[in-house]
Amino acid sequence: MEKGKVQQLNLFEMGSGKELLHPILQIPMLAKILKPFFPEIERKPKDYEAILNHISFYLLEQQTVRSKLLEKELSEECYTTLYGLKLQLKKSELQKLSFAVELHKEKFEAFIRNEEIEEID
Amino acid sequence: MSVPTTSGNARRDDLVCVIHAEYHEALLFHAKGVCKRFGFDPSFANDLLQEVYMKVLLRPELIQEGLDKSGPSYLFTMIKRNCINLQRKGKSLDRLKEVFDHEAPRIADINHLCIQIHAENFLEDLQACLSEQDFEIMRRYINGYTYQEIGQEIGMNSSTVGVRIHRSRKMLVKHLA
Repeated sequence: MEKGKVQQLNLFEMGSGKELLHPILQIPMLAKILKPFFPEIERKPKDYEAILNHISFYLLEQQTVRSKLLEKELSEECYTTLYGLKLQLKKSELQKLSFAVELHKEKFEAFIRNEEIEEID
Repeated sequence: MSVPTTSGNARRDDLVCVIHAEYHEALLFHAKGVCKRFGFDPSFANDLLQEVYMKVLLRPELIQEGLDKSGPSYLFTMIKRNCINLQRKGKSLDRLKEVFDHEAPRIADINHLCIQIHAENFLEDLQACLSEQDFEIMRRYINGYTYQEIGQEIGMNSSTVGVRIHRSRKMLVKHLA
């Protein structure tokens, strides 16, 4: 009986944790980029599975930078954003790019703070 | 213009922080994609992004209203519009040189410094020798608008706009020679 209970708990944890997230959403930078276009993506991952598969293939496997399929399936804004990302992924690896984006974000944070201070002065 | 209150400043700072925290990555790659599509170097993406943040800092109420109405899409549209304006400015300079080639300063190094004053004088000359409607067409043309955009604003067929520009240019060559 006890063994059964332990198994049930494990199953429950697997069903409610991050395991359900699409692999592409487990990459923080990609999850951040996709969230503005699919606000419910983390609540209803099943609904977005097909499109996420296409996005994943486009970003991580496809050789060409254009995707007619995604151009049809996504909004213009979303496709342009992924296109911009794909262009950068052609130049550097995902990990390096994530690191560069983090630095970029920090630089902009400093820029924003500086502008705020200048305005107050 | 009203001076922002402390709470106004706090709201503005909150808005900038939310945009920076939630949308920075998406906005950055959107700007890169837009730059590529409009034929700009990807490094222009930083300028486009900077303009967005500056607008948020200077006009937070407007941005908040836009975000309430259209969601993050509002920010992406801002980037695209900034890029269109950038392209228009580039076109404007090219066209000014093209129309005004006879009198444009010849020294390449100082060209960009005095072109603005020259442009203003040139527009005055244009106004004097063109009809009111042709002047409006040429003013827009020099400012980088497309035939279609001029046509839409003036209520004229785009091909007619093209013909009017062609005739005005021919006339100007004689007049300014």
